[in-house]
Amino acid sequence: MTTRPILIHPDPRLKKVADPVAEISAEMRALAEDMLETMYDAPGIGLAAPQIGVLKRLIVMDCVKEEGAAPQPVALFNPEITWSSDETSVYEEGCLSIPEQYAEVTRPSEVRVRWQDMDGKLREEQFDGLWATCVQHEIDHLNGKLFIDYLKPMKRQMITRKMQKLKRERARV
Amino acid sequence: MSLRPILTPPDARLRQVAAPVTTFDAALRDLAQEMAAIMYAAPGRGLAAPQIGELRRLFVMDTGWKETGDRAPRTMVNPEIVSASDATQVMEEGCLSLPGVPVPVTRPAQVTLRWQDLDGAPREETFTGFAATCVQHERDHLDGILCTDYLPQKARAAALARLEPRP
Repeated sequence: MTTRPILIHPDPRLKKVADPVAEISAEMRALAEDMLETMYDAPGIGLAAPQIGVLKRLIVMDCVKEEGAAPQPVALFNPEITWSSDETSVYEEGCLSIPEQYAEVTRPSEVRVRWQDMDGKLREEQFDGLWATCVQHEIDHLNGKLFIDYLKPMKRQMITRKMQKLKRERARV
Repeated sequence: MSLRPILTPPDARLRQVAAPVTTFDAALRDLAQEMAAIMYAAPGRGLAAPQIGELRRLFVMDTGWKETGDRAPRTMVNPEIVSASDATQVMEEGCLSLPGVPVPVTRPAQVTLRWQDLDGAPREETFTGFAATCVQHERDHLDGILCTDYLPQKARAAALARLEPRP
């Protein structure tokens, strides 16, 4: 396993719609492992393949479940939201591609997601709480969407300018 | 996705007395879940609500997950130490709000903690060893106390000078 560099917004690759994963090959599974390591190292609770420059429909998350339930790091290939609740919840979100910027985002508080697991098996599960927010945030990445796209234009532009400055500073070092 | 940052000194919210939790609802459950996620991502073994700017009396802890790999987060709401042993122990305490600054602290080796769970039900348990230190450390955060406060003044200044900037 290796950690991969995370792209920082603005980057054209973060704006693209990612391609479906046709075959869950050994190479794809290795990519998922690298993404998990990159996510833990960051640290974050979710990461989408486009964030490391791979335009494939793959996300990883680490779900802390309720007390007593076995939590598992999960890799979701070709995830799709099949149902969302009318009820919404608000979380202060951050993104590994937009370091140190946080903002409240309103999203459906529960979603049902269908995906293929590491073995290519089709799975479907309902997510709530933080995990509903996280899975929606990550699936957005596969469609070229960032959490700042939910913010008012002024705030979004301010964050984007900060990120441009951060990238210039990092390029100089 | 990343989660809101853990506060570090000199943030004033780390120094305030947090308010008791009176409503045991879904929002409290969500907060506890978010705190656990932040704790695991950090990675740490305990996190009190004021450390993420929520001035409410609760903390989450999981003392064993780093060794066993199994996560078993516990949430303690409105925790109070109802008895403490005369016997003390010294442990090197780490704090997610004090990255890179382990601090040796002497505390009672055994404490009985009373708290409420996420449904508001009263609980009581006696802790020893690392868990005893952990519950006292987290409980302190709810009163704005940091583990560096137990150091003599000179050592405290030196410890805070070693504070690493949180990336």
